[in-house]
Amino acid sequence: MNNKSSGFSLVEVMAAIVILTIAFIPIIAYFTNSIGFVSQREDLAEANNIAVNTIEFLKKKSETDWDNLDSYTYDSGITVAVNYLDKNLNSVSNGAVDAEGNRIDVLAEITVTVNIDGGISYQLNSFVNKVGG
Amino acid sequence: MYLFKEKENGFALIMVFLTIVVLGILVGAFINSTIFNIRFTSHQENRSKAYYAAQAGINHLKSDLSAFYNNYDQPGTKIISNETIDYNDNTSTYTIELNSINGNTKTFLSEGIFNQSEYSISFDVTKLSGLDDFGVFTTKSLDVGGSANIESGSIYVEMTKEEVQEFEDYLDELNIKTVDEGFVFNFTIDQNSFSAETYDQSYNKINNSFTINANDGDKIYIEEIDLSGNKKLIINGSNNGKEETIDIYVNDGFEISGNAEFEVSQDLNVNLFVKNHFDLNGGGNSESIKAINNSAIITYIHPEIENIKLAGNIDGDLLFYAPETIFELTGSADLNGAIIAESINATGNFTINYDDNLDKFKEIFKEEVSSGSGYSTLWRY
Repeated sequence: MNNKSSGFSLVEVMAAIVILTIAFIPIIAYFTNSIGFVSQREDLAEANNIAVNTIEFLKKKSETDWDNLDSYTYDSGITVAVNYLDKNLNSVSNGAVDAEGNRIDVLAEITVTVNIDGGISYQLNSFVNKVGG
Repeated sequence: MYLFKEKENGFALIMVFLTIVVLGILVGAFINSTIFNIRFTSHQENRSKAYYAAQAGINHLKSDLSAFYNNYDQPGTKIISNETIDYNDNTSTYTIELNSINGNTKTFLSEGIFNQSEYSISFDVTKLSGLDDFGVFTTKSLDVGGSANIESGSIYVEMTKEEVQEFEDYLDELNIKTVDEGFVFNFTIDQNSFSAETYDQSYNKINNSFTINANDGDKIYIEEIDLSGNKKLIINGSNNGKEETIDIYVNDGFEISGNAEFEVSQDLNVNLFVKNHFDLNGGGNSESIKAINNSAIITYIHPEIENIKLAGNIDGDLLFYAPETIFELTGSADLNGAIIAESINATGNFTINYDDNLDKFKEIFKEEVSSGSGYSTLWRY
């Protein structure tokens, strides 16, 4: 009996290693995926902060420099599109006037796009108006 | 010993299962934390987009504030419904509702939605008409330097905020803005009104102490007013114990220096129309322009007068209407009144105090401006 049990622990340990290895494969795969995913979410959160700051910057700029909302050099990876609108949300050119010569470009649609590593981009849109806000 | 050894069989397997269970719990906790993080950041993004959709709604409202304010009077009315802002693969929307009305103040709610995240912003708008409590209006700019002061209660409104750095914080604190670029009353002085009128009384240059006795409704022509030293020009009503109004047309300039005074007796409203130039340099203790109890003066400055310098004391209920004129306010004088000007540059210790008695002019300006195309309503928000 003694002889028969010799080496049994080794078999058990081998079996345990096999089972643990099989159990670890999906866990490791999950960890690998989630690390990548969490990292991406962090990048998106950072991109959101950058986009929020950019819109706030443009709000402030709209109070004093309405005509040049679209002329500013941002850090690489940040793209800002400015679309001037009239009060009915129709797209008009910057400086457009009505028949009486009054400016009609009273709103600007701001689209901020922040590029994140891995070819993903984050976008935030809002309107600002001529008196700031 | 033998029995014990037999019982050890399978122990490693049990340990393995236990390890798997413990690892499973740890992994479960980790998964939970990861899912929470993902939901949280995702919620942040959705909320940001919902917030900026609501902000877009507010700015949409501001862009045509007059129409939105004037056209809706029923709380609960949806003014703008589900206006969309496009994203590449989704849209955010905003809806604006008139929430409540309290006097001249209307409260609007802008609700932004993105991916089922909602954000509501409340927005109070108060319509201010006529003079209200504003002591200073300018069509272009207000520049205040030195120790010059515009007392609270005589709040100013100006157009180019960047030019008045000193007052930016004050402005923010008051949270007052104008919605239009210009602040123009459609109210100008007829270029020919000085010579075309048939006057009830007319005088040549007045440069000595003098008293004019006028009746209600009189139109008085004075070629020029130039008072210095201790000279005093007094305008009296007919003393019937009621409020009277007279118009005075000064064709060739109005100037007061030293201790000289221009005094309007009680219960008299004077419309003073001035051409050519207007200067106050009162250096003495007396008040250069004085309106006695319940009297009031509106000084209409002809558009051809480009600059006015005020250094003297000005008392009483005095309103300058000079939308095309640049005012220089210097010295340590006090103005109890209000100024409507193209721009104002105040230095030294000049102080402007709004006088509540000026409220009686409100109706005059309301009537005159409400039909004019150049009228811009003021908004507080």
